[in-house]
Amino acid sequence: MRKVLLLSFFIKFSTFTIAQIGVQVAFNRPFAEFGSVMKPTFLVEVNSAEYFTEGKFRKVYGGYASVFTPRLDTFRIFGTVQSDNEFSVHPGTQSFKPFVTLDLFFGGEFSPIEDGDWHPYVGIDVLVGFHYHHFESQVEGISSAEESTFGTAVGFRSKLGLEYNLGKKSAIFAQYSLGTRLSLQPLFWSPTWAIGVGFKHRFSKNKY
Amino acid sequence: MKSIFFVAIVLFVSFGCKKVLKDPLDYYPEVELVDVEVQTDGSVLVHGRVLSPGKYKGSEIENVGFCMLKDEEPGMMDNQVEGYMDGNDFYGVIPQFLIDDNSVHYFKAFATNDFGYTLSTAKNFDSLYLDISAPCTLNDNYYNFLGTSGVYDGVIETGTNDYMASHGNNRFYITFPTDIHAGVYQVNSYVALPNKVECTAQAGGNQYPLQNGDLVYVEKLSSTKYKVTICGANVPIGQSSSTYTGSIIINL
Repeated sequence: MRKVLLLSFFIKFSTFTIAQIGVQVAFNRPFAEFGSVMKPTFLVEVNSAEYFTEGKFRKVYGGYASVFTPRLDTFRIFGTVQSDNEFSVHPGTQSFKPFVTLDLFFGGEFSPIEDGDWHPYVGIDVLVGFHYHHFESQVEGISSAEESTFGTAVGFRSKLGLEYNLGKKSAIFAQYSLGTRLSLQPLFWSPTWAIGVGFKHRFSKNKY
Repeated sequence: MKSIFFVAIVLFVSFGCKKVLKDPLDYYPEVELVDVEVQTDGSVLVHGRVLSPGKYKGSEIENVGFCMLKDEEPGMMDNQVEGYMDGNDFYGVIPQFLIDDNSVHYFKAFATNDFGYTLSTAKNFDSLYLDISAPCTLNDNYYNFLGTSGVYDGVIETGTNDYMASHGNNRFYITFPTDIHAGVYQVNSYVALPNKVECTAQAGGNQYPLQNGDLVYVEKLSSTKYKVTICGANVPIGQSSSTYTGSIIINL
């Protein structure tokens, strides 16, 4: 029984996945403290979503990846030492290797326009992510550390987009998204906004 | 459905004002060293200024201070002193015993914020005039130790940077870490440290090192003549202690 359920899940999943595939390439800009450390980069996304002509609300899921490189070879950091009568500031450096992220998301999108070819929409996704993170830091007389982590993250992003249907099977879209992910190992926020364009195509024979 | 729209708008607005700075160095504070000024006690008042706490919205200065080194540019840890803020300006005091009259002194100011620190460019000063004035005024070669006072017969150099004053069995030894120069020194057994001297008083054939940390004032009388003054330095003697007061004239 369990095998039957599993099989039916995969059949349903693969049907939905293969049915309509979207690809997006976006300029991905880190901001806040994360933006002080990492350069803008590109985001490549593969997603699957229904068409707005089937309803004002649709589910969407997929995944996207980015590789962030640091803005400086070394960053100036410091540490402080406080003892009974003395206070001192100790200089240090910190450097990073590229920060590689892969995020899987699931969310919803809403368009106020159901008919016609133009569909502005807003949406929100929740995500579970994975990343590779490496840094080295040393503070004179206080500490020295080097760490490589394959970690996990959770997060969300909000989206604003415009989709245009090209006939009955294809669509193009432009999307602005803004969100953040919380890395769990080590613990830090990495907010980004992205603006990109994409193309989606329906492979199934079903009409919408 | 409207709630999704609402949440998305709130997120856009709440994150929209966190701008990324074009130059990553703009996240750090900007700081300059304004001036240094020798004080009446021989210490040096250092004046710095924060030009910017960092251009990222909400940046604040966390720490300010100064560093100083003789004859070369200092790193942040070299003779570091903490600064105190007065508006955008900040001040610190370099103790007199770190200053000497034969060296060029390089100073830098620094400031820190959330993102890191900035060291100013160095300014060098080769004319930090030291007006050394000991807190006591003594006749040349006078001494008072263990209830005996007198006048040393003279001072001789017994080794490299080692000097001895003597008056019978009453003697005074002093060792400088380098060539003698004006300044306020601290007594220290490890004489190799800069601006520290090793001092020993002798009375009745017994020698007693002066206590670490007491001050020794060296005044430059001429290019070849210095006056060394000690005003009531502590001298550990067994379980008790005494004081040594004296001055010697060193002719190079």
